[in-house]
Amino acid sequence: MNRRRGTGSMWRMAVVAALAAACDSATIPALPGPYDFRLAIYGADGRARQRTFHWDRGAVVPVYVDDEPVGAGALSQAFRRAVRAWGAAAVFGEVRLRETTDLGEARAVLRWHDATGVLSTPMTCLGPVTGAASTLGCLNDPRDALRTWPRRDGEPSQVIYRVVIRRTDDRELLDRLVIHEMGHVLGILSHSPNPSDIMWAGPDLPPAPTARDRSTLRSLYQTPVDLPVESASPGE
Amino acid sequence: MTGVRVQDLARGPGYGGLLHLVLMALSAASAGAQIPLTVEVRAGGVYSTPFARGIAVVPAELEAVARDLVVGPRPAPVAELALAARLDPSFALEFRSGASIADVAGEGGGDSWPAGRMTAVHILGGVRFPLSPLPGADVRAGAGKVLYLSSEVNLLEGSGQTGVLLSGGFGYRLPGPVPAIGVAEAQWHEFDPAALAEAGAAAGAVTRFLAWLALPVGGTP
Repeated sequence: MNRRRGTGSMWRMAVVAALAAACDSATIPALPGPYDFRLAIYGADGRARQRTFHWDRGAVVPVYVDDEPVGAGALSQAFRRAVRAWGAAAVFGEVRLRETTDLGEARAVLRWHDATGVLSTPMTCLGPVTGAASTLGCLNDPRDALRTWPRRDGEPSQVIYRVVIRRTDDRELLDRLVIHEMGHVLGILSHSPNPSDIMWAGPDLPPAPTARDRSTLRSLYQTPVDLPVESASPGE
Repeated sequence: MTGVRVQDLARGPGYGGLLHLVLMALSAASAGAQIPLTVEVRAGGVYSTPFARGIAVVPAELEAVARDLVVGPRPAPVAELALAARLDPSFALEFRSGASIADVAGEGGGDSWPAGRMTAVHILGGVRFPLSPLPGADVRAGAGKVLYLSSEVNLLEGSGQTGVLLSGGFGYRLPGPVPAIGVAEAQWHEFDPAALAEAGAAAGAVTRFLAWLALPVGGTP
C-alpha cells in the first residue's frame, strides 16, 4: 500500500516537473528603448504636433515596384531584401510588405528618381529629392490626415507613399537605402538620432534594422494612430 | 516571394518519403514474421503554446508602458496516418505522420491580430503499452520532428527551426460498435532561440496538446 502511494507520488512529481519544464518560457531578451517614430506636422499656427501613423496590425502592405527599365531588376531585388529585413524585425506579425504588380491595390510606389513614374504630383505633395532617397506622403488641407496620391492615368488610387531612389551601381548602398525607406513606409516617420540605426538620416547606414530599429517598430505598432488616412477619391 | 523556406519544403517530402520507406519495410517484415499490423487514420484538434514572447515599450503621456506580446498558432484541426505493429501483447511500435494548417496570431495589450497561416508537419516513431489495470487503455510515447512551413508568417521566415519532438499520451478504446480510439497527447519541442533572440523575443519550449479520434482502417490479422 505504502509502496503504491510512493509510486503514485513519483508519477505526480514527474508530471508536475514535465509541465513546469514545458510551461517555463525563456528569459525575454531586453531590446534597447525605441526612438521617436512620430511625424512632426506644423500647423497654420506654426506649432509642431507629433503624429503617429501605422497600418492595421497584421496588415500586408502591397508596394508597386516601378523598376524601369524593365528587366534590370535591381530595385525589385533590393525591395525583396527589405521585405525580409523588416519581416525579421516584426516577429509578432505586426506588419509585412509584399510586392504587387497591381497599381490599383498598391499602398506605396517605389521607383527610380529619373523615371517618369505612375503617379502624378500635385502641388500639395511636391517635395524635393535632395538626398539619395526619399519617401513622401501627402497631407490633406487641414493637415490632420494622410491623403492618397493621384495616379497619372486618372484611375482610383490607394497609394499613400511615393518612394524615390537615386540610381546607383552600389548594390549594398541600394539595399540599405530601400530598407531605410521601407521603414518609413511601415510608419517610422522620423529618423533615429543614432548613426548606427537603419533609420538614421545620414550616410553609412547599417545593412539591416538594428535592435533599436526593431524595438521602435514594435512600439509603433502598439501605439494608437492619430494620423489617419483620408478616404480616396477616384481619379483625384 | 516572401521567403518560402526552401530548405524545409525540401525536408517535408524528405520526411514523408522516409516514413513511406519505414512503413514499407515494416509491412514486409511483418508479412515475413507474422506481426499484426494496424493502419489508423486519426483526426482531431491541436492547441499550441506561443512560439515567442516579447515586450513592447509603448510611449504614454506620463511614462512609457511595457506591454507583453506573444505570437503563436490558433487551435487548429489536425489529421494523421499511423501504422502500428504489435510485436508482443504488451508492446506495440508505431510510426505516424500528420499535418495541421493553422492561423498564426499576435497578441498584446488585450488585442490580437492575424500574422499569417502556416502548415505544421510532424513525423514520429514511438511505442504503446497497454495499461493492464484498465482494459482498452494504453500509454504511448514517441520522438520525432515537427516542421513549420510558411511563406506568410514573419516569425518563421528566418527561424522556425525546431529541436527533437517528444511526445507522450494516453489512448482508450471507446465503447460502441465502431472500434474507435480516443487519444489525448502532449508534444514538446524546443524552438530555435538564436534568430528570435536577435529580434528581441524569447523562444524556448513549445508544447502542443492534441486530442484525437483514431479509426483503424486496415491491417493484417
